[in-house]
Amino acid sequence: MSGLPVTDRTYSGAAIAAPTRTPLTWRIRKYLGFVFISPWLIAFLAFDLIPTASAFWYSFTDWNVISGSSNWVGTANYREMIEGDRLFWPSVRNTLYYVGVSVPLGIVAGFFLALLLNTKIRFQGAYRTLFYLPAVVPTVAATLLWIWVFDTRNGLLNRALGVVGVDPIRWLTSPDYSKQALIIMSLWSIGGSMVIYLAGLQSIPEDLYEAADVDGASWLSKTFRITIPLMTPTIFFNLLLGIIGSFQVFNAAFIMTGGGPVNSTRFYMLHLYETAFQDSRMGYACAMAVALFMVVLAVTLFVNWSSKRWVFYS
Amino acid sequence: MTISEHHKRLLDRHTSRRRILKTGAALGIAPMLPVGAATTRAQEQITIDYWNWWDVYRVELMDGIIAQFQIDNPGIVVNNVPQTWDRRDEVVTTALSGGEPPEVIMASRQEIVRFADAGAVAPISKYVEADAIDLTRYYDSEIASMWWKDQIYSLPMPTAGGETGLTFYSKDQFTAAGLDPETPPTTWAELDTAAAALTKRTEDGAIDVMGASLDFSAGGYLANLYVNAGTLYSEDLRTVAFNSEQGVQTLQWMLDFAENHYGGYQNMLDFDLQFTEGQQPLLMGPVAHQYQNVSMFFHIEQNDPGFNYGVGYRPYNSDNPNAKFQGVAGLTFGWGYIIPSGLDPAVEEAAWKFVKRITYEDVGACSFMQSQLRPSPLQDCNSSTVFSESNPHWDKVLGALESDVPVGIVPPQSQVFSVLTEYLELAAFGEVDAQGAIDEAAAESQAMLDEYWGTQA
Repeated sequence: MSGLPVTDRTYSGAAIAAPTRTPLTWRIRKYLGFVFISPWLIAFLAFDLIPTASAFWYSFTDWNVISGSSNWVGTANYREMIEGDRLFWPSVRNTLYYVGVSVPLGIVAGFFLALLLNTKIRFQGAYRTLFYLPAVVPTVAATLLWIWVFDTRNGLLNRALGVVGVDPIRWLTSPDYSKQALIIMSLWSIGGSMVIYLAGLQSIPEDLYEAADVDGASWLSKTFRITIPLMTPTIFFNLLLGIIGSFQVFNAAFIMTGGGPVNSTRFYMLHLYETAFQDSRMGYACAMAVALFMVVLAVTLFVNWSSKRWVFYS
Repeated sequence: MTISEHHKRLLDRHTSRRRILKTGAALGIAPMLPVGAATTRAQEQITIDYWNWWDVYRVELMDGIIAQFQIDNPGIVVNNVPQTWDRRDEVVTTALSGGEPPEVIMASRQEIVRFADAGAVAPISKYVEADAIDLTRYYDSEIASMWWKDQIYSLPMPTAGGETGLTFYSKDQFTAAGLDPETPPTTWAELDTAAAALTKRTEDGAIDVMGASLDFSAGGYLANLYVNAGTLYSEDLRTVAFNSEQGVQTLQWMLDFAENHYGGYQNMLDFDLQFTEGQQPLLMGPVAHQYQNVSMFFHIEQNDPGFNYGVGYRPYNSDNPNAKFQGVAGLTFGWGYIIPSGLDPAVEEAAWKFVKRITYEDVGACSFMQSQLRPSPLQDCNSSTVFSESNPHWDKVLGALESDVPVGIVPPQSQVFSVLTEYLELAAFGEVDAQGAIDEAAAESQAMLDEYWGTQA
């Protein structure tokens, strides 16, 4: 405001006195936005930013959460992760396997389901509700239910497979199948992503399909040339959420298998949790958390970078 | 753990004496009184938040004890805060490290040692001494679990013993299998014979009836190790001792048992998967002979009071001349009540008074266990005729408690158990033989012990 003349003229030529300083309300208004977002900002600082920054710091210490003792150990925690922790690499391998299979499977299944439920059929709303319901069932309840489904001898899944002549599979008691079982279980809650896909599908302009119909395009052709390209922003969004969520897989293994059999479902977060709360080695657990954060960040950035090539926003 | 010198001094100070159970009046009146009925002025009031895992029907019993305690101790208000089992480790750790812990926390034996070692809980030795607590009232194996490095940190309740020593079996199934229902197996050889007669498998090899349960966790293995004259650690807790001849022999026996009777460990896992937590396969029929702690009496009473069962002791290895029946106390089970360090002295003292009430005084400690028909760590509480009249197997319970040996543990115990369990499972899956599993588990456990003791120099 210092560049303004002391007086100015209006369009009518009448001289008016220009304010010598900005009114207080204007100066306050500049910061008013911060006041409005302060509840979120304070919570973000208290529960996200500061704890995250603290975790970085503590990852270089031997912090024992019970005694409160914390000594600087440099990169010892990170070296132990790579060289000394015999459960670290198995947990990484298990988690990568889970992410690599469950995320694409979840996207395909969720998208396919949304396509089906986007067609004009009777009881469409009821179907949508039914498929969404599992997404709101508490994980613990769902997990207990799935233990019955996966029961080797009397489980629903093996009984169904038995009808087509498949021998009983040891879903939860064999290291060869336990991860697959948890991946199958993860599909139980695709209702959440399905709803997002449905919203995306309904935002695709109808006239594009009408034009394609005029040109005699088949359903498959319309799906691959109109629907999927225009759904890529939604797929991208679900992909990111899926990757981040899958890297943090915990509940199912914690409740159903406890990491077994033979560590086949010892996922990264389960190992981290036990290190932190059963062994009280919070410094090392922080290092594990930081490493996970870095990996998820790197994967997210990569997916984000790659999105320029396959996500279409118009 | 060996009983420390300080412990011995305290034990010697007091002569052992019988206590008369005073339960009826207190429990009869107490539930009628509102919890929090402190009669003192608000400004003098001390509030104790008491976190515990005595849930369901025990809440009312505990509320009764608290109400009576508040009458006896005007000025102290106790909030009974039962917690859920879900993510227990996380809840307790966060509470202690968060700076505002509850004044009394029910803690497992492993937690007590770990927290005590970290200085997170207050030793109660001075109160034990000042209040002339007669530690000889407790079973030796029970009270020994409450010590760490010459300080006592809690008093026990319920029993840590009676956990591994008892077996329960179906007399009807014994009879049907041609076994004497009044003579449970007492040795490994007899257990083999019984399991062979009792087990039923389907054509495809799956288990229909498990003749005798077998636990491949660290706790299950160590319970068998102790009836084969083996030990977990050396006396000074600095050296792993389960990698002995008995250690390998015990695991080999378990592997053979699983293979011979059940067709391997995976069949056992498939069998276990059928039952949800809280179900009692022994009462349902699919298990004929089961290792179970004293809570089984309550489960039978609640679920199937007419169940025709017998009680025996954990079979031991009669081929080993040094082996005998003995239970282990405090290895995988055992509870005490800790007071976090750093409390205001008046609050700490009030917390101690409450801990004393629920772990030592007849009206709290004895009555609470008696109401559940469970034995108390206090020997004299268990002589009540209430038990012997209501439980025909009470002599077996007392025998198991008296046989229990205290087993010392170390602060990184959860890590040692985790390693041991992992290698036991590898052996059970046939990935490694018994000798290899024990050797590997011992080497890694020893490294953990060395690391821990290295920091204590």
